[in-house]
Amino acid sequence: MKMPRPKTNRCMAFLRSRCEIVMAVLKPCPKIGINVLNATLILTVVAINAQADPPQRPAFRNHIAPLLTRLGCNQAACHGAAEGQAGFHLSLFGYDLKGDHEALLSGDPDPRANWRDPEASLILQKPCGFVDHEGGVLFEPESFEYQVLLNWVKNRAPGIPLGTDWIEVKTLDVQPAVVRGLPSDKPLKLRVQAEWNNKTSDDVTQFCRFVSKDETIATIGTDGEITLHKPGMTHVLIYYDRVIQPVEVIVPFADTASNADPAPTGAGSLDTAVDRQLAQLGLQPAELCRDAEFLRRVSLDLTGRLPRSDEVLEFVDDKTADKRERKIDALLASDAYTDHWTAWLCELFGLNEEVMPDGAFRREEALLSYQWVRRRVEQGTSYDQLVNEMVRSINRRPEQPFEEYIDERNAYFRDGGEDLLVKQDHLPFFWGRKHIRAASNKALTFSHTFLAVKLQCAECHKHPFDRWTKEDFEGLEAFFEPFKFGTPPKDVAASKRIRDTFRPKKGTINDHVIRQAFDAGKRVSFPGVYLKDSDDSAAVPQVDRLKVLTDWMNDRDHPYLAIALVNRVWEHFLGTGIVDTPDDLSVGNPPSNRELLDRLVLQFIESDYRLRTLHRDIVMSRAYQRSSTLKDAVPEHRRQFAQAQFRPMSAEVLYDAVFQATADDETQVTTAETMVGPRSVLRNSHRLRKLLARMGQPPGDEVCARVRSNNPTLPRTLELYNGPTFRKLLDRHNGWIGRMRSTGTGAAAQQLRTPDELLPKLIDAAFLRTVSRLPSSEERSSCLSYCQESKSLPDGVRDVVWALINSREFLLNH
Amino acid sequence: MQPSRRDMLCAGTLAIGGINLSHLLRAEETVSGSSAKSAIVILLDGGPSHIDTFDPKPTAPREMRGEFGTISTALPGVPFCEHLPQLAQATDSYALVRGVSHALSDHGLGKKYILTGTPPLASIQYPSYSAVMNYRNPAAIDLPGTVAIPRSPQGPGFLGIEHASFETGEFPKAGRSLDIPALTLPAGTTSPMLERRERLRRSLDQKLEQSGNSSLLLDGMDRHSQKAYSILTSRRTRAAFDLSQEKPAFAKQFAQDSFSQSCLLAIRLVEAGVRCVTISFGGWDTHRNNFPTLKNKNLPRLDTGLVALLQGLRQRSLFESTTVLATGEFGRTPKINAYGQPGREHYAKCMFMVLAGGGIVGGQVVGSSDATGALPADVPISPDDVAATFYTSLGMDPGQVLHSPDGRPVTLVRNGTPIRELIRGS
Repeated sequence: MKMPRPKTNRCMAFLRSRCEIVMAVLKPCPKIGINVLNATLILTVVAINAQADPPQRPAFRNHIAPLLTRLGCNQAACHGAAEGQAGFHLSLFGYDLKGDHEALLSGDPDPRANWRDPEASLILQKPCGFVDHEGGVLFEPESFEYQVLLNWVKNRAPGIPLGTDWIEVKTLDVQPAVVRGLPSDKPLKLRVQAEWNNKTSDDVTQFCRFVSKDETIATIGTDGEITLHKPGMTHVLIYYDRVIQPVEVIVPFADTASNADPAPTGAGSLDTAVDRQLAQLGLQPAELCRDAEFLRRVSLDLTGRLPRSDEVLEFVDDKTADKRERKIDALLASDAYTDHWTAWLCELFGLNEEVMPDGAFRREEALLSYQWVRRRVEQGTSYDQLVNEMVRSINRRPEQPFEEYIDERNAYFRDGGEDLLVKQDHLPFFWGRKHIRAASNKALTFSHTFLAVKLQCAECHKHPFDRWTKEDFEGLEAFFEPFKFGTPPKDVAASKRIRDTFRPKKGTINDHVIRQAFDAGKRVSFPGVYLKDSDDSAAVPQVDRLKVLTDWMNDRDHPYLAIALVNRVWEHFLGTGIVDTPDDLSVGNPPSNRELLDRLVLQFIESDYRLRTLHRDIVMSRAYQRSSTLKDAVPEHRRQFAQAQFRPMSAEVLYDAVFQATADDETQVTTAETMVGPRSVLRNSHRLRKLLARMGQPPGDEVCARVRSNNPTLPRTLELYNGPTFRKLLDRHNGWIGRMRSTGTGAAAQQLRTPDELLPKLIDAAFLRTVSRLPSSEERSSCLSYCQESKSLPDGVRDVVWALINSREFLLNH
Repeated sequence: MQPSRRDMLCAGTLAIGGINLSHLLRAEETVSGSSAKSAIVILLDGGPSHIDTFDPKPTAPREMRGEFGTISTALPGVPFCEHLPQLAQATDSYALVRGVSHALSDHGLGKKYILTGTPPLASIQYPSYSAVMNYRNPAAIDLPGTVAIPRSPQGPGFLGIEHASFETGEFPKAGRSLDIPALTLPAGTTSPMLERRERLRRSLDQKLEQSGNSSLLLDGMDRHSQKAYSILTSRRTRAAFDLSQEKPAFAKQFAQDSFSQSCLLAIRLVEAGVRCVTISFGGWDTHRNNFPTLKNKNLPRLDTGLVALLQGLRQRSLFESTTVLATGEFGRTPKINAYGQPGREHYAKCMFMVLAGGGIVGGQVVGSSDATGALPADVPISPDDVAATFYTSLGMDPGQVLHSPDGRPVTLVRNGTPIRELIRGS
């Protein structure tokens, strides 16, 4: 089969340049581990060179533009501001070499670069402070920087020679490649060699910008000299031309000679990667967590539900060695797992009522989308296949006649529509969503959702911490430009015929009219996404256009789709991504443990992108099962997964947890009642939407940002503390407390008189329902005395449950 | 090993799953002083006609000038619509901005624009004025920082729901306490009962104390629980929401309608220390029935309510420390449509806004519109300029840089310049 290729050059430029970037983020998988293992060699200090002489004939691209970036001239606060400063404008972070060169040559009445009188050039006078400069004095007249700029001006300030703009930096060779040492060590100087794609190379150390990711651990001077300050792991970033190269810095906490080679753990390769890094840093991890804690944690993370009280007792009593593994497998096979992860994916993909394409059917379209994804999660469909199916069809099958398409769309919303839709090998609502009608928004949402790359900066200027430029953004945008939402011109007449059957005598057809007609049994017409006929690339079939893009992101040499997903899933379970800020994968944002990320990606790909396998691999690891308690913990423990993190529950999971903790003993909580599940994709039509919004559920119309907040904020705290919804859950007549009240006041009074028998049991039950453990003896006795002083037994127990629900132990997954 | 403050900061930004708790620290550090300023933002929801209110065009053709006559105001040569007699006499108390202009004549987009000062973007959600006020000046422990009556028309955007307005859910009624569900205690609950229950809660909330893990998160949760308890048991918070506790002589100045009563509540909340009160005053989307609606309902209410608000602020000595902004999301078309009960359509190219308070030079009109109210006559004033003016009047730099949760620097008002004539002391 012939490989389709989009004709647009911009698309191809995008694919070419993106591949390079991906390579830098993740070393190709076949070489996995090798780089990391070799990197443990302690590198000898490179002899510090005396400062090199400034080049006699500086080149604009090689020397001048990087120097301006290094000096900070093109930052937003300086000449990179949209309107420039003092009439001098540079492109933000230097994305526009040609424009910047022109700006340097102009200037009236005093030229910025004046080769008739080089020393009088403003680009020398201002930064030296001879002429008033708001940005302050940047260098001295005898300095290296001054000489470089002077030599350039003397040579008539040349720009980029014609025909050489294809020349760019291929790689930066940095020595040493890993920095490892102690704060007591002498400062160490990096040396940077640029390898150009015209087979030349030169030392560019003095033209690089150096940035430390964590200045409390290591600082780096403008000359590339690194000083170590305190133990920890971080990176320094080296910027030159369009290349960014991170260099790992490790400052161990303890003498690592004794445990530099950790004993084989036999617990799987993820733990090997985590433990190796911990050993290098001289950090001791926390013990494994206790059984009750594990059960609560893994239940919340896999299924979004608390374990049942009897389940806790049974699990703690179970003495078999493989009980955690068996519990994990049971949870992975449960319906609650399927619903929890369907909801998780729907949020990632942006499938919810707020944004569905057709005003009259938003609720149905959201629920159908949920079921479409759910079927695939349930069946264990590969993640790449799921994404391909969802993304590759823009809406209507090629060559599908309009009438047939309309019949199909109508049928989705009639009885049996759900079965019909989930069997489709595409999701017809995806590209028609109302918040991504513009091509630029499609590009933004695509890169956010599937690549975890922030392109929104590059929409206007070069990304400050990455290689993304405006051309890259436009390249991705070009893939979506031919998409149009509406009715294709050739089908307008047919659509009008359908609409005429329910056109009101007065007024226009709006969503309400459409809905009424549909409910009255009429066939209605739907707009959709189609390709503009006028576009010259329309010769490329729609499927192929998107296939090129999805094939590219699934390429085993640079599996961007897999990297983005595994890192987000890891964050779900561990609280921090291996690349922290998982929505911003970039070269400037290196992983805290490259070997771990490599292994996780490789295992995911080798499992054929199976979500269940990925989840199982993670929750089976010791890194996941560690205790959150660790004496003398430092932040690096959490960054390196040596200790479990406290993670606040999402709004939906929290609601469900309270619902379950306050339900009576017989009630089995099902999907029909939970907020995690189909209801998670509803917005306007959902009774509890406002409450969930106050607790952090996102609006759902975000194009390219994750705005969910699980923060235990004041509005959330107030709702749980005294909000009517949670009060009602606690007191509902068919709930645990309600049943206790209705078992008869006589009986309750009886029980209160003999509280020794019943009350301790109720207090134990209250603890098991909420914090999934039994109370300590102090806790039990303070609850006992509280209840005994209460008006009635149900009142007392109610307050105990309320107090537990409002405790951090309940509100956090720990 | 005792974690240093820097460790704790790192724990806040790095460790807690991307949760940014630095604002909690700041809330702790900023002791709210009496010098702190407050704002009252009034959204004339739906978009009031500029021609039928503050910018009449008596010489325009009849299909534009409408049914209303004009009256002279305390400002020579500045007529208003005849149905704003009190505001016409009280021009000393506020500044009128005419000829404000933008391009978003959709309700949702327009509100996002005029309540943030930046046109809506796909890539980032700008915070509302009230969220910025809350973020910059946290209120006392027993008070919600910002309140929206009845609901918040614009969210906190990238600042996060921590800074969302506390919503009253309904309008206040004259002489009554406003019962906000989450602030209303169940019948029969007394303070001693609450205190006893809170003591139980604290005694049970010890479990994760000793773990050496992210003390910032735990401390933050602790503070929120304390704040929830403090708000619920605070007499002054309860009193602020209870209009029956207002002195009759003062309350009498406010009409019975929901807008006037909201203005009264706003004064009480600002007096208690709430940083920003947002009032939604709806009913301005007059595609039909424009003239009877305005004449019989909206204009009298706006006239009495706004004047009472400004007077009341002065009487309580709050005027100097408060900025009031009243605006719709857009104006309405100069041309009256041809429906049986005629109205005007959405129109963003020309509109008005009202600013008042200690930081604003009142008694003047800034900007102007052309002969038919179709376009600004001078240099157009943008909502961004008004936003910059609003923040400047509150002593806040509109050019200050805020940070989104992922660290992107965002200028508070990207493209606005404060209107110099309006800023006191400039």
